[in-house]
Amino acid sequence: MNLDHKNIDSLFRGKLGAYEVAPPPDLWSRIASKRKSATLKNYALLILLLLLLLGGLAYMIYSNFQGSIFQAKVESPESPMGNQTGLVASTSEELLSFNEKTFFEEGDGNIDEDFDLVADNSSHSEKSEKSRTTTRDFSETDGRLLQNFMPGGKAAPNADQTFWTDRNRLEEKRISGGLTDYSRTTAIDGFEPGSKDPFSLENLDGMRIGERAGVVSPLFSGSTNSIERKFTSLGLEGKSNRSLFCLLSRGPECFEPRIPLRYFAIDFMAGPDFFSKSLKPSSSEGEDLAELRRETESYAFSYGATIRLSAVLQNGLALRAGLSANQINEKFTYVDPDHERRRVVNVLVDTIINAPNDTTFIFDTLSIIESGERIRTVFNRYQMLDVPLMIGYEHRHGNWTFTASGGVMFNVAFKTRGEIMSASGDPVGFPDPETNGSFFRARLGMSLTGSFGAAYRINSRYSAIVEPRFVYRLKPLTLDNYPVEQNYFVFGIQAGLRYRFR
Amino acid sequence: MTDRELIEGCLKGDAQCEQLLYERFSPKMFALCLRYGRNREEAEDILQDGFIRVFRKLHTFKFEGSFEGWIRRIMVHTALKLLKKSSNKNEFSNLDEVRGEKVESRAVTNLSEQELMDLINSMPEGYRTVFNLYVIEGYKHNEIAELLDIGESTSRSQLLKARKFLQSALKHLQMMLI
Repeated sequence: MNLDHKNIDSLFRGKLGAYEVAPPPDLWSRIASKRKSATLKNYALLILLLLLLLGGLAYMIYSNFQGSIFQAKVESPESPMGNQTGLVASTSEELLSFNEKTFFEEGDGNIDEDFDLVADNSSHSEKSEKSRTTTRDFSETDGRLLQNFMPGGKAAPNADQTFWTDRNRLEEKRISGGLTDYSRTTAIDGFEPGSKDPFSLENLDGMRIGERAGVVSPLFSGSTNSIERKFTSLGLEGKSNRSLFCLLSRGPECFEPRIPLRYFAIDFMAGPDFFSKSLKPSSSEGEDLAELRRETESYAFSYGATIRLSAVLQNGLALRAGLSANQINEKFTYVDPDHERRRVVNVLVDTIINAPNDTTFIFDTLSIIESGERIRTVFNRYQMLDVPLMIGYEHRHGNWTFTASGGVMFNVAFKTRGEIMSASGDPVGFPDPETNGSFFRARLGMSLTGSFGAAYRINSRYSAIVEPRFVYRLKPLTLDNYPVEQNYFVFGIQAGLRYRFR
Repeated sequence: MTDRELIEGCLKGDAQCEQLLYERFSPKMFALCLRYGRNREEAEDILQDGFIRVFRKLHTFKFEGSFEGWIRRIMVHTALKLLKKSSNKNEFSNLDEVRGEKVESRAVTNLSEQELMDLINSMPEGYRTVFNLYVIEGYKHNEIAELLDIGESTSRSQLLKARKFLQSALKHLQMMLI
């Protein structure tokens, strides 16, 4: 052979192009385990990213409304009483101030059940009858009405042009007429927020546009046991006033909320599930198998648990994401009418007495075959882990919140274990202990889900929640080449706790 | 089971099909990995990473052309990536002592595949990689240059030197066989 370049090339190409070398036998298991861990890592990263995104969104929304304590300046400190001074909470970006007609009026609607407002040029005070505090008359200091109000409830007499409020309690509500009803209140240290507070958000929520739109804010607090507030009208009694007003001044009613978050919450829920199972033959050969499986498989029990983050907007719209785990347990009962069991026993066949205390026993073995009916019971398990992404609506009524949500779930893990009947009429395990093969998919793809729920507020942070739900899987659990399509419609009730971040 | 059925099964997450696919193509691919890797352990790493990439990118296979060719390309890319990672610079040697001579021999045609593999593996990494890519995988010099981030002329010269190296080695072998 002439060893020129062409020949060398063809020699190596011809001999090595299709050359085969057996890889080490454990390499496939190494690949499978690495792929599995990589998949889990990817899903963990995806979930983490999702949670980070949601958390980031929540933080953005939250920081728009919460923030630290901020200032609003009083423009007319010389004559603050009567009808010159208005107080307004500002946004985080700008410091708003405005002069607006201020008056005190008697409350009606939801508010006057709780307190009276008294207009008085020399002594401005509001009595909160339901509050546990005593009302203290406001008195001018150095001719100034307003003094520094610190969250600790202490007055700083010399810094009388600033007013501190707390944006934690800022709330706005959009009403169908296109106007925005801004009701603002402030927290006072030592005064426990809650239903006893006539100015609390819960009470102000019921305010109707045109009736009581305005700013409710504390004027002064000398001690933790006193509470004084002023109601400042914002001129929202009619639609026409608003546009004119906004042309001339940047009052709070002209301020459009950017992202109106009502609150952000995390739900922990668990509970039993019920399911409707379908075994549908996908081909003619699957008909007998489906029938055989229906006869041998029965319902046992099922349960699920959910951890879910919810961002609830002012209009009641709720965006939810989280993790949902679900396990379906079924009983597989197989009766083998011709079961045979073989056992071997030792049989003494002879005894030889050689001498006193010297006896030889001769044994033989006997194989006994027993036949009869054998009942085999196995609990099959189907475990699913999904990421639900839902949109919903929440309606508050007193301490109760009613919810309705719907959306999709993405399956991130699906594990099965147990036995079912095979087409040959014998039980077969899954996954196969040798090949790890199965009749079921590795992942179930997308599902539809929906829920209705009721939550009862235990305190400002915690609510007890009960939520009936359903899950419908769009894809059958079985592989496409399996002759029977196995699917479930799951419906259940979950109960748990909701923690509100604000 | 045809390649198409196998691929479709794998895309549906059927573990059995995945294993079948591996069993069908892994011997050929392992031989390929052995030609690129510096030792057996490195070849196993290439095969492992290569098959993980095959399964991850399986949905991108358009059923146009040979499936084996598609897997082979993935393996080659994985091998080059791994080699690049494990060595700071490509070892493109310059063995001046290699002499190109015409050698007449019948014995070389009877060399086994393993012996030819050993010959390839005895070459410096730069020669070996370019020779494998050009002669056995059928890449062009411009493609090799792009893959290895070298100039086309470097690719040509490395191939020439690889051939001379093999020619010399085969001559030596032939002398021993005689």
